[in-house]
Amino acid sequence: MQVIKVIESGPFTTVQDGGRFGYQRYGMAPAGAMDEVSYQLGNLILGNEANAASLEFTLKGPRLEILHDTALVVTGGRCVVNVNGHRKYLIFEPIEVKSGDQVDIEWITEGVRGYLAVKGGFDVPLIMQSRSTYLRGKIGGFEGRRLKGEEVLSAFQSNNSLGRALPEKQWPSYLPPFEIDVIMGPQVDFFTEEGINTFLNETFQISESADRMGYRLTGPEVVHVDKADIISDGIPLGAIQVPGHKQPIIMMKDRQTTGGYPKIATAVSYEIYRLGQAKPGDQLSFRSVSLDQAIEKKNHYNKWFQGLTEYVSQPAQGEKHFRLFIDDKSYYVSIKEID
Amino acid sequence: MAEINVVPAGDQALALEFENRIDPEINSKVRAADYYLTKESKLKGLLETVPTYRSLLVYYDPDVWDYEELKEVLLNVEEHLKDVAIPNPETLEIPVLYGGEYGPDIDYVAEYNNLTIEEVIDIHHSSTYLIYMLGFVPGFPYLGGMSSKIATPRLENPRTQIPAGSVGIAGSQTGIYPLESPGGWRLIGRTPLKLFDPSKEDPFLPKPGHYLKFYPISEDEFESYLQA
Repeated sequence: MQVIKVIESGPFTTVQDGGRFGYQRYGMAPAGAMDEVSYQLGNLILGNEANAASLEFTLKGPRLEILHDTALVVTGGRCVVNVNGHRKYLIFEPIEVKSGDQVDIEWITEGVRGYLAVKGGFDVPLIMQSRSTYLRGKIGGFEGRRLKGEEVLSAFQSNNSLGRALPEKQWPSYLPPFEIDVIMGPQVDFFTEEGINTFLNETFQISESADRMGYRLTGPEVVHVDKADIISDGIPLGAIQVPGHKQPIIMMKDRQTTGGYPKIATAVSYEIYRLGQAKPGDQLSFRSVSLDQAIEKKNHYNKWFQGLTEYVSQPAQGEKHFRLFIDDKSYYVSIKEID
Repeated sequence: MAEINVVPAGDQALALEFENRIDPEINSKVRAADYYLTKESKLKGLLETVPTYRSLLVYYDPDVWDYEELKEVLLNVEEHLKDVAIPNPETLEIPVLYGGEYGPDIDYVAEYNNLTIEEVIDIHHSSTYLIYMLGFVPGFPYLGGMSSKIATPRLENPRTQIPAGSVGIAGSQTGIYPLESPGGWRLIGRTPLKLFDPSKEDPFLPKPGHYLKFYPISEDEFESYLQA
């Protein structure tokens, strides 16, 4: 069912889902949504599977024409969603749209990536068990490429009821500076004590070379003991490698699966969604945690995320939420049935 | 007991490392450990493995595995392997149309090494190459075993567009471009086979730890492969 025509894609927009796993041994990056938290919440707010395909946009969202009555939601980086120019919606709020509606997603003001989910999820071919676009491999998503405008996107049929909007105070925060927990290694022994101290005590900045593959940082030099080459090995998600130029690179979802630079540390898994929202110019520092500390904090993260998913997944029973537009002002109205 | 080491790679992966050398014997240990974990052990909670020259990256589910427990299993992997019959590596045969428009640098490779073009082709296709690992782009094999007689430095100015299937030489290595991409390899031929075809159930022809051999084909054979 054709639901959306992309009029303008925005600076960088691709179709993503949870990722393509099992093929890193063949050199295939997993790809997938950079901010897993907001991406999954978007789907759950629409009653979709958490892993349904959505659009991931960077800096600014696309401008769309709705081709068929449906519901959509924008999550992730802070931005405003306009429908037909005058109806303004928040992120994390389900929006019912009608055929012919014009939707424009404004520039992101906090974070850098947004997710546009549609009821049922986007219907693009399942390639090697995933709908994620992997640009370097030219596969997945919409014809293996980023959107350019003029694409017509289809969605799967869904009769699931919509979930609930996430109140603003519960939105994930993406404000820099970012303090990122890391587990040292696997090649921490390639760095001097001074190099390790610099890495853990100084502040770094995300450079303009930052994309879905990885973020090159600028800052003080992280010094190696000797050479900055290892026999190429596997690169885990969140690995922080330091080539001969002594500036760290954080490896993200479209990373090369193998590489020959020593990895001083690896970001803990609960940091990935925040890193996915970090942008050029943001300040970043690293904090070493033990595996035990990481597991404990991961448990907190899991509980937090579960709380959010349970909240948004509940159909609004006996409750109605809608938007009222009076004199160019927009009101979010909740009505609750009382016994 | 051979040198073997396990190090954490974040909170949901670890690296099993063998001796720090590029050596077919060490790579065969990686392959054996990988075979044990992915095919033989039936261990739950192992999500994905990435075999490379001398190490195996193992992604695991931290809800199933405690790092120390999994480390223990891996440190004893050679024990576990004693009773396991590991199938012999297979040899992937890759047809190549050498020279001409498909291998525009073969003249240079011949000249650089004081060989004739026929000698370059003979040397290149008579070796059996070990696929140490795949990486760089999907389906790209890191091959070991090229004769030093045809070693040639990379182009000074890389080409912006190299067609998929191009076979090239860079220094003492040979390789195949699975996708159209930029690159500085000296191109000596092209294979009509797709190393990476996402529409296939088994999308990748080269497999880590197995072997690869080239064989020369004619232009007519090349065309008929493309039409097949």
